[in-house]
Amino acid sequence: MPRLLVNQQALRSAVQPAASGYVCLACRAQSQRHFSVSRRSRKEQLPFFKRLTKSIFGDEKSREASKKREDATRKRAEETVATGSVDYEQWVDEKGREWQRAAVVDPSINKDYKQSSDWAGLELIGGEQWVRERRDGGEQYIGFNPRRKTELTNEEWKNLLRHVIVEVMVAKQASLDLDTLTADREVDLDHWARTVGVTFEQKDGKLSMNFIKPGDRDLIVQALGLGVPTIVESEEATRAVDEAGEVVGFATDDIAASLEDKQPAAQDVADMAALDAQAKQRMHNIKIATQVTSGGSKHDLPAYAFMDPDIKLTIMKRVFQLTSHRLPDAVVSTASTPIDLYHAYITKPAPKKLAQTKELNKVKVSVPNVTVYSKRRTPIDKEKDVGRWKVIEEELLRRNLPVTGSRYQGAKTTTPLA
Amino acid sequence: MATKRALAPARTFLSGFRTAQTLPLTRSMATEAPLPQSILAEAHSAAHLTSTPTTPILHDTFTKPPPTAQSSRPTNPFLTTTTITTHAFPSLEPLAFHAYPSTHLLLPLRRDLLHRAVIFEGDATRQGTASTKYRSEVHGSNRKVRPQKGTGSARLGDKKSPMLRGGGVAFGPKPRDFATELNRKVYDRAMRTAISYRYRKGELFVLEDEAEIYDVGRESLQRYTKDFLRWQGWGHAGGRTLFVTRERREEFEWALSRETMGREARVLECEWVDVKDVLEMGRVVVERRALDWLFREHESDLPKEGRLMRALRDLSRRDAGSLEGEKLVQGQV
Repeated sequence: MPRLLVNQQALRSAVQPAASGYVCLACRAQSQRHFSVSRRSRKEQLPFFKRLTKSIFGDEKSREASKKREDATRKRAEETVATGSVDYEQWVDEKGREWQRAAVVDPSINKDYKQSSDWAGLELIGGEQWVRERRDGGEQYIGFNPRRKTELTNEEWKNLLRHVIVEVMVAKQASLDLDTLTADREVDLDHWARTVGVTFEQKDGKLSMNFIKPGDRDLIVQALGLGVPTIVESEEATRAVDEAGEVVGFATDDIAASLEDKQPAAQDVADMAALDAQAKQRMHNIKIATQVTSGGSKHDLPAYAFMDPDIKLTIMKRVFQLTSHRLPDAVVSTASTPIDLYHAYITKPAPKKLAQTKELNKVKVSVPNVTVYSKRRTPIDKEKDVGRWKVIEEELLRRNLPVTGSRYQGAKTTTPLA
Repeated sequence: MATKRALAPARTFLSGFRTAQTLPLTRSMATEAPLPQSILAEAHSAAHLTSTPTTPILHDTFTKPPPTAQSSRPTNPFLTTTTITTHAFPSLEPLAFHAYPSTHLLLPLRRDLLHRAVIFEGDATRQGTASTKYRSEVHGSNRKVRPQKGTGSARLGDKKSPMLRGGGVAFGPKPRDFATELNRKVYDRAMRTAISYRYRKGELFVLEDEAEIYDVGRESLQRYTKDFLRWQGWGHAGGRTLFVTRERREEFEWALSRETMGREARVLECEWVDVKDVLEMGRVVVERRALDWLFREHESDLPKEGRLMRALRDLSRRDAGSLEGEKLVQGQV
């Protein structure tokens, strides 16, 4: 009779109508094991005693295989000593698959290796989280806006809006695509100084820009990375403002020192921590630029209505890209001038908690015997104020009692069960 | 729980709501319009038996009177527009402005309508399967437990009495339908009021294209989506987000169906969106096509001139006709 696979046996028992129609786990487990249904010939069979000694002490073949395994392990341990590294090593098996396997370390051979007595600092292998992280492809999300909002003062907002408006209007007058303004650019203080120092003038219903120096417009366009455009001269009058230099007062050496030299490009970032660092650096640079390029109070925003919706969209887009501040659509819809946008940006959102309102903040200062809390005060908070909570919590843990809430099946607990 | 409006019982939305009926054109109507002379002549000649055979009336035409000044309704002078910014997904780069009429996005807050709509949805969602047994349904004999008189104890009938342990429930719940009715126009206005409320609070974001994540492997999709929500502050810490899509978005829905992602955000197709869903989460992110679909589905209370498609057409005609040098009116783009 040919050797039958147990799976076929199990299949047959599954197909045949059983009395109860149920196969227990033990039977299923047994059916998974391979067994033979054919009898061996008497010539192949060893005597009983020899079979017994073979199963207890092993035969020559098994002893040789065991020795071969030990030699291979010892050889790998000696290689580890030779290379001096206990990191993962690359290994290709006979089927051509690449594996990363741990090095074999034998403390009797490798005297420099000190075994750890606990698991502190060691790499944890296994578990669902570990498997998930290994399978992860590493794609990183990068948003259009920075991850964190840049908080600016009113003056800094004014400078930022002036900078953006000038960039947009220069590009618009040069009939260039406004989408290119939102290309990734580094913060250039000279460029910021040129844009923030511009004064606006309204004449006959048209808005014109007065640059600090005659060639500033072309430099601005070059900084935008668009090259020198063909300027339509009839739409504006450009003239050098002699007194602009004393208004925009800063020292380039000091500013250059405040900025770090290294500004990594977005493509070089490998993980979220590096992205965060880059975003933080950019926020810092923008804040520095808005601070040091602040002009006098006479450099106000133009009170000129947006004729082209693309201009308003580009201004909002650029501000969003630089500061991550987003205006509600209802506010954007009603804002028709840069001053409206400025007021919208400097308006702080309403506080979500009563304790954060202006009135209760005054109470905190003016009424010293009243304390305002933003959260509900629980008995645990009162114990923490006194300093007794640590003792209570330790005792509860020691007695394996729930620290907060009750202990039932499926309860959320912050304490480990004993 | 979301309910698909198409599956709601018809009486819920259409009861008390007169369906459009086309009145049959009868010759007995006093206000009947006069027939054209040629057809009258044919009819008259056909009535005489001795007349020569005439060509049969193969068609009955009626010349529509030209529109007069009184037939067109005057435009609403109080109707304004408001703009919404559409964004790319998932970068959230602002892409364009789109105008919508104030009847859809600037409705005043009507808490009573919102309350009625939410209660109506909750009632329709109720399973209504609570059931108890009356004394007649409890298993047991009807034998009188003890004699009426003479025992010194209170009189008792059978042991299934609600006053006894093991007896039935006196007026307990029975499976029933808790659905109530709400006028369709009221519900539609409530939906638009909810969307307007979110818009006015700055918690409505519109996406230009599909809310779908491409070029990200399945193994990284959950982590990528979580990073995206955290980057924008739209996850659990930001009050959670509802994404409304026009069609099923396989990858994005799969990512949000993973463990613990439900506490970060939720995605629904527009047909399954209720008023409660619009009001529940910290913000609503909706595809523009889905938003247009929601408006088209929920504008039965508006006259035909005020409905979205016609209003957008009128807006585009008005924008095309306006000159570039004109000063803009506040509220318009």
